[in-house]
Amino acid sequence: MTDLITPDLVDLDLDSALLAVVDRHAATRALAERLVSAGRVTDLDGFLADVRAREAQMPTGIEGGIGIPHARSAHVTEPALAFGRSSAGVDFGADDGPAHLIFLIAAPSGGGSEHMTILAALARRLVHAEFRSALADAVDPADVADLVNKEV
Amino acid sequence: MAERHAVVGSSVGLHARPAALLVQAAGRAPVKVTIAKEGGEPTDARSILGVLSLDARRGDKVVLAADGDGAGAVLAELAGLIESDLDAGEG
Repeated sequence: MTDLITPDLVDLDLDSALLAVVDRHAATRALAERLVSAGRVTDLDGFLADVRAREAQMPTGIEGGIGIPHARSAHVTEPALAFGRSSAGVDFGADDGPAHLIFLIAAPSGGGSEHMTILAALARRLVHAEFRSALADAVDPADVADLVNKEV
Repeated sequence: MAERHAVVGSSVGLHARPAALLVQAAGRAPVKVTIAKEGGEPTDARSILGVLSLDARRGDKVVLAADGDGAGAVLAELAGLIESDLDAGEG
């Protein structure tokens, strides 16, 4: 199976990629564009619509400065994760403030409960402060990809 | 320590809206509640990250635990949430 995340799916400086308005839709779009470039998502706007529909059910901002927008979508070719880091922070609707570590989780619609397995594995790692600080301190996208592929 | 077992009723499991409702209800409770899959590690029921990390699917057995005044009533309420089908759409 292809790695869930590759270095080209990591953006360690989401703030400068977004330039102006840093809202969660812009952040999600920036990460989704990477998934499109990598060939894991076929239709950017279709996929983003699925992510928004999912967000309407539950805010995807979670405690500890983490955002996990995600969707199962017909526009996804294979399960993938894109990771973005924002020092300014992006509001994903969490009670305790904006997200600095953002994971966009994409799963194919035929994939059954695969995305829940990915989400649960990621959640189990993110509970640990060491994993969060390793992501916060990483300087090389390849290190982030290695870390996530090893742990999730 | 009060304990209560519950079987997950939502078809998406404890994800999405069912997970959010559980975490909100646990956050309103006057006592700290933990949740675990049967035989697994307990995690804070007020934490969405903790609840998602359980990967609890429909039909899985979970164990709620709490200490203090009113723990029994809180656990009964949360168990009721977990056992009902709270889904709106797919997960």
